[in-house]
This record gives sequence, structure tokens and C-alpha cells, in this order.
Amino acid sequence: MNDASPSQDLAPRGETLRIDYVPRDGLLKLSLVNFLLGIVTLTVYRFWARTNIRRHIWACVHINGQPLEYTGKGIELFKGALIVFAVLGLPVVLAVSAISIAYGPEHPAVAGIQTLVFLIVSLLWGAALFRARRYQLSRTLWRGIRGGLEGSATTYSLTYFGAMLAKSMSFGWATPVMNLNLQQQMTGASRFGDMPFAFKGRAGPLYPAYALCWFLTLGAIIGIGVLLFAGLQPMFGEDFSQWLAELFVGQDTPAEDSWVMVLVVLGGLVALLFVFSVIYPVIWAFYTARELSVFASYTTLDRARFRLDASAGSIIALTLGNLLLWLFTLGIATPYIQQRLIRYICDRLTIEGEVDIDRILQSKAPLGTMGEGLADAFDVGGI
Amino acid sequence: MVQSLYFDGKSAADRPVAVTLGALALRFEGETTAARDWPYDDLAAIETHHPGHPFRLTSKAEPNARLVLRDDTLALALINRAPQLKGGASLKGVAKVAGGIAGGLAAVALAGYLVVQFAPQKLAFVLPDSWRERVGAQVEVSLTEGAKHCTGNEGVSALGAMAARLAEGNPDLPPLSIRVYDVPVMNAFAMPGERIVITRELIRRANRPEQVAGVLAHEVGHVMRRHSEAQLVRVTGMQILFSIMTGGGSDTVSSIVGIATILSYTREAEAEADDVAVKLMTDAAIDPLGLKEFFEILLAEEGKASAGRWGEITSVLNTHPGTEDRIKKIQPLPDGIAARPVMTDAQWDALKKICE
Repeated sequence: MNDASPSQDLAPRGETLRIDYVPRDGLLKLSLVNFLLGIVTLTVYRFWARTNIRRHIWACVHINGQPLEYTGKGIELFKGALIVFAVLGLPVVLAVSAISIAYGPEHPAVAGIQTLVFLIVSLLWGAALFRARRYQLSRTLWRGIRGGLEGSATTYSLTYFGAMLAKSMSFGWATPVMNLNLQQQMTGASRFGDMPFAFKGRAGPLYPAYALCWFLTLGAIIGIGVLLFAGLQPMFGEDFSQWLAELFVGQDTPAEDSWVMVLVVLGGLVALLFVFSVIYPVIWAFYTARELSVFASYTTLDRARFRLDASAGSIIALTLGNLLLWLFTLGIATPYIQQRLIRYICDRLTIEGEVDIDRILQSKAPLGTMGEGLADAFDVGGI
Repeated sequence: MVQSLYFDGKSAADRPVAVTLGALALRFEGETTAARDWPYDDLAAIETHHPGHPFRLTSKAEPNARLVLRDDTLALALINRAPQLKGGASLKGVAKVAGGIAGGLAAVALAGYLVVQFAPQKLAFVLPDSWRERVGAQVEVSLTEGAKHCTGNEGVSALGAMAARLAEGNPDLPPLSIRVYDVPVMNAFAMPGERIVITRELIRRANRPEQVAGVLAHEVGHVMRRHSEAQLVRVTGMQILFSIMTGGGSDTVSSIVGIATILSYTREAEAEADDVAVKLMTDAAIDPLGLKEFFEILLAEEGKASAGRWGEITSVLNTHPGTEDRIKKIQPLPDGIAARPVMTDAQWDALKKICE
């Protein structure tokens, strides 16, 4: 751009981008090998397993006919996790163990350490997400050019912590604003080579969907509570409220028939919890779909704007399908679950407008040598 | 000839090139690319070649550059000249992985042996008394939570007399803290710091003092071998080991394996405590058949379900298989040693009323 020589070539050039997911053979073999080696190595293989899956899935994502390439290594993830464990996990485990043996497990210092750990983890959670994203982008190549994430993990982490506080203090109502803010930081810091992504937009359009889901959830909770009470009240009549009171006050030797009550109530609670754990994602799929579409439409690269056709129905099908897939294969199908997630995005993402691909130069950001240590330690690694 | 594509790793532009295979190197050039050679030895495949799919290459000298061959004939001819491009699992690679896994498992097995088998019993005798005392006090409090501590004066002194009687002929016996709690389930426990708890139900169900003395001797066996201290070290060590293995997660697996390990060591400890009990009773000239009779009472109890918090503790007791085997191992006093009474009838009455 600082080229001194005058050029007739200054008029914007570019191509439109097209994303395809082109499945390949080998995912079944990968699933079985990962599962078996996971057992044989007492789960330590998980770092290499995750790397193999990414290498496979990345190579299935074709942009204008050229596949993505994943260049990460299992050993990088392993080292990262090892260092985080040595710095954060092991000292805590040793301290708690030492205090438990010397002063007994009920010494207040144990609870103190646990609270402290919770606080530290909460503060670092955002940094973990940020660094994991940076690692993944820096290990993703297209046409020989790698992605990157600029900016500060600390800033993102503090924003993330603040967002969690704001969400809980506002009974969730700050969620759209906070998520937008976080997405803006993350996308705004993302690069392909030296070309930045941009993210700009307002949270307003998210609120109708959020309000719908919020009130539906409230209604579901109240409905389930009423059902529970109405179902049990006639069964035990007057005794029920009295029995509830006794249950919470605590009785040493409950009468025999009250054991029946305990079983019935527990069974009912478990059933309702199960119902709710299905209802909840179904309700919130409406918001998730809206957020995905809106965030995509706020995202630009050069002169191209993204568009994602997410819908509540398709997200419910995706989520429940993945849940069933996981349950019925005992987790062996994890690579297929991840493929479904990536494929969902690829199939529904369109990019309008042009990107001047030839102008994009290689990223100058240094390649870190460590993987997603924090993210793995906190289990937020995602795919 | 099908054109190949070259990405130079500096810009995202694609450059059509024509590829030829030389004697020692692959050569390519195009309109925007000056001719260059990639020596065969330096080449690496991004992924193994699948016929019908583009074959992607890189070279040591330009690790970010990519050359994409779209002609299968050319790709196969190249693989012929640079066999390392063939890829796939090599015997050497598999051996390396297998060796790594075997080495890792051996290290884990060694650490497991140290933590579960070797260290606990040794460390149990090294733990400072003040630590054992503090932990024991907490265990006793949480175990007997809500139950009444029985402090009937004459009963307590009868219990003291029983301990003193057991110490006759056993000068090594450590000073003990023995307490009775008003709990409706038959049981007794040994805890760190020479603490022993006996339930009121156990005393109530005993027909003669020798049976209680047998149980006491059994618990003293646990105390003298420091079984509960060893168990504490074992559980802690296993927690540390599991958190290292799993990077801090997976509580379910670790608790299942943990409980299994602990139960197997509990059985071993029970047998050891039985042996110590019989020896203590023989040396003190107390009829060891008291312990045997207690086990028979216990055996009659097995299978009867009991509910509540204390029921869980009995059910752990019930998981010890082979109460019959334990009964068989207990021999009467050898010839020449005459059993002497544990306590007077008045003391026995007082012990029975310790919770009143």
C-alpha cells in the first residue's frame, strides 16, 4: 500500500468467497482409534485425539475450492495443559491434601482455598477462551496464510468476568449487551493474515428474542412447580405440607409411609429435572439462532459481509441429535458431533461482497509454542 | 498437462505453475513465479495422497509455502521419487507410540504402587501425633454427629477397667480414648489418634463382657497397626494421583476406583486386626471366643436391612465377605492358659447402663 510507484491497479479487485463442507473418509477410524487409545493411556491421549479430529475436519472445509489446514500438534496442547496444571492445579491439590492431613478435612483453610480457586478460575476463564481461540487461529492455514488473534487476553478476561457479574445481577437481561461486547472484542481482534475482521452493530435487535425466551423459561419453571404441587397434594392430602415442613426441619426416624413420600417426590423431581433439561435448550434455541444470525451479519472482512441462516428448529435438531449421538455411542462419536457443528456453520454461512485475496499478506504475529493449557484445564476447549 | 498451484506463504495469491520432475528436485515455474527447485529430500506431504484429490506439498526451505498438484500421474511419479511422501503408519512410528504408552503406564503403575501399597503404612507411623489427634477428633465428631456421648460414671470406669484388663500381658498397648455413643446400630470404629468408638447397640446386644472385649481388642488391633492413618494417607495420595492423571477432573472415575481400592484394603486390615485381637486376648488371658461369638451375632444380623445414616455404615460392614472365614480363624485359648474374667458382674451391669 505504501508502494511509491503510481499504479492503475488501485481500483478495488476481489473475489466472492464460498464455503463448502466436503466430507472425507476416515472419521470412523479416527473415532475408534481415539477412543481405544484414550482408554489405553488413561485419557492422556485426549490432546492428540483432539488434534487429529481438527486436522480431519479443517481439511473438509473448503473456501473457494482450497481446504483449510490445521497445523497444531498434540504435544503443544499437552505441554500447555501440563504447565497450567503444575502452576495452578497441583499446588492447590497438594495444599488441600496437606491441610486435610495435618488439620483435618473440616479446617476452614480448606474452604478458604476452594473459594480462592473458584475466584481465580472465574477471573481467568475469559483469558482461557481467548488464548484457546488465538492458538486455533494461529494453527489454521488457508492458501498458506494463517489466522491470528491480536489484543490482550487480560482485557478480554476482565470483560468476561464483568459480563458474568452483570448477567447474574440483571437476572440475565444484560446477556445480549454483554455477549455483543465480548463478540466485538473477539471478532475485532481476529485476523486472516494481515487482514482484520471487523464487527459493528447494536444489541437492540437481540432483545425481542431474548425477552421471548426469558418469559418462556419463567413460565416453564412456574408451570413445573404448579404441576409438582398439584400432582402430589391430592396423593397425600393435608399431611403433605406438614410433611414438607418436617422434611426440611429434619426428623431422625421418619415414619414408614413418609419414605414412600420421599421416593415419590424424588422420582417426580428427577423426572421434572429431565423434562426441564430438554425444555430449556429448546426454549433458548430461539435466542441462540437469533444471536448467531445477528452476530454474523455484524461481521465483515474487507468488503464482504457474513450471513448465517440459523433457525431455532435447525439448532434444536443439531443439539438434540448430538446429545443422542453422544449418549448412544458413549462418546465414541465425538468426532461426528464436532463435524456436525462445523458443518452446520459451513452449510448455512454465505459471504456477500468481495475480498481482495491477493492483497492479503502472511501474519507477522509470533507463533506461540504452547497449546490451550488454560482452556483444557478448565475444560472449555470446545472443538 | 494439468496446471498446479503454488502459494508462496507470503501472500494469499494463487500462482499457476507448471511442474517438472528433475533428477534430484522438483522444478516449477509460472507467469508470476520465477523457476525454483524443491529437492526431493526436503519435501513433505500435508496429507497422504488420495487419487482424484489434489495432493498438497511443502518443502523444508519454505515451510509456509504450499504446492498443490492436481494430476494423479504426476503425484504418483513424484511419490516414486520421494518415498517419504507416501505417508501412512510406519512400523517405527507405531513402535514409538506403543513404547511411549507402555513407559507411561509403567510409571503410573509404579506411582500407584507407591501411593496405595508402599507409602501409607510407612507414613502412618511418621505422621506427627498432633496431626493424628486433630484429624481423629474431627472424624469422631462427623461420625457421631447428632448421637449422644454416653458418660455414665460407673459405665465409663468399667470401660476403663476393660482396657486395663486388656493391657495385662500387653505392655505395648498405647493409651486409648474409648467412647460409647447412643447409636441404634451395632458397630465399633477405630480412628486416627488412638480413638475408639463403640455403639450402645453393640453393648446392648452383647451377652457377656468377653464379647465386648473381643470387639475392643479388634479395634485396638486397628489402632496399633495405624490402619485408619494409613487409609487417610492412601486416600489423599490417590486423590493427588488422580488429579495429576486427569488434569484435575473426572471425579466419577476416581471415586469408583478409589472406593474399590479402599474396600480391598479394608478387608486386609480387618483380617490383620482379627489376628492382633486374638493375640492380645490370649496374652491377657481373656477368652478369644468372645470375639467369635460377636461375629456370630453379626452374622445373624446380616441380610436384615436397616435404614438411615447408620444403615449405610452397617452396609459397608456387610460388604466384608467371609464373616464365616473370620469366625473359623479364631481359636480358643491354648492349653495351659486359664481364662480370667474381664470384669466383675457389677462392672458389666454398669457398662450396660452407660447411656442411662
